[in-house]
Amino acid sequence: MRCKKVLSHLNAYADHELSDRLSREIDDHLRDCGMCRIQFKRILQVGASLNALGVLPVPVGFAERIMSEARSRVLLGAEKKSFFAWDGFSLQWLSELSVPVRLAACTMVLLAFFLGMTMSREISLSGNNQATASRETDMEGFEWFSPSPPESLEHTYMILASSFDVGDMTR
Amino acid sequence: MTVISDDQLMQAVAHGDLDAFNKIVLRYQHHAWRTACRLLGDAMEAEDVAQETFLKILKAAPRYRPTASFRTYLYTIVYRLCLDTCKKSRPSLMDTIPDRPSASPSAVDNLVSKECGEEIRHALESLPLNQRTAIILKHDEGLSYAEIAQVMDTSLKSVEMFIRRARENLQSKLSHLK
Repeated sequence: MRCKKVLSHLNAYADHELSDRLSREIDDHLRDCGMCRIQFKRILQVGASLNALGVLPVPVGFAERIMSEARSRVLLGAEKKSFFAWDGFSLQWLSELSVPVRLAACTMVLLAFFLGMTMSREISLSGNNQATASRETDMEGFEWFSPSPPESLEHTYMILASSFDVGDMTR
Repeated sequence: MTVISDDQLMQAVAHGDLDAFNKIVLRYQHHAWRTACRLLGDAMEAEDVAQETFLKILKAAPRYRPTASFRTYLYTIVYRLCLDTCKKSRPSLMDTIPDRPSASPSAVDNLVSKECGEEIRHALESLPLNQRTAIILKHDEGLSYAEIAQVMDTSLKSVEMFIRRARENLQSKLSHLK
């Protein structure tokens, strides 16, 4: 095995991350190559330096402080849950669903909402048309009381005026 | 005496068993505290991060699924909280920092009495956060490259590169020490 390949794997070799076959090849190479051996020793020296930092003891009372905070948060969570629960029904089950199921549920709710909006709009429009038709039916018989009732001079004039082309008059 | 596994303890915590949660805390408090301390270099911030790690585990217990080892899950939370802390309070820790001691004395300073230990600690703190995280998780916590990649949400190749560069940087800073 060549030095370039050994050096590229030396850190992983020092950390026991290589396969047995590759480790054996590097073992054989290090036995014969002084330069790679020096590089490997440098890696081990860095490890020894980090060991010199020593063990960091956990602060006194650390676990107790966590448990105290944990108990207060659990109690607070229980109070909130009882406030929002209706006759034993709770929305806790919603948070336990997986993300795809929650997304599908939200999509269904939104689709139902928009469908309802569309249908209600169509119903209200058809209702308006019926109102207009009923209004026209209601006006039957009252056309004689309009400003230009049928068979009046004004009504005849308006019919004649609408049949004339304005272009003919300007010639 | 049968040892209860982490997954069994988490199942109990999910059902509101605070004794099980206490066992989790006692089992992993050293790991969380030590990792946060090495990453942040400040004992008070490390304690806040370690405490918040366990409280997040408690809150997420009902949704916990053992897709990876609990240890990896714990270190992932520690790392992300340290990342947030660095971004908010000390963005300089994201990259290399100048070679000067920290302004306020901390419990960490008291522990390391030897001068070379102090230099090693400063050399470690001068590494960029990603290199520091990778080398600490490997050297102090004994995680594999695959586990470190999972914690840091990166590739195996990146982890190898972080560790290689961390060692090269430490080597150059500590070469004068015997």
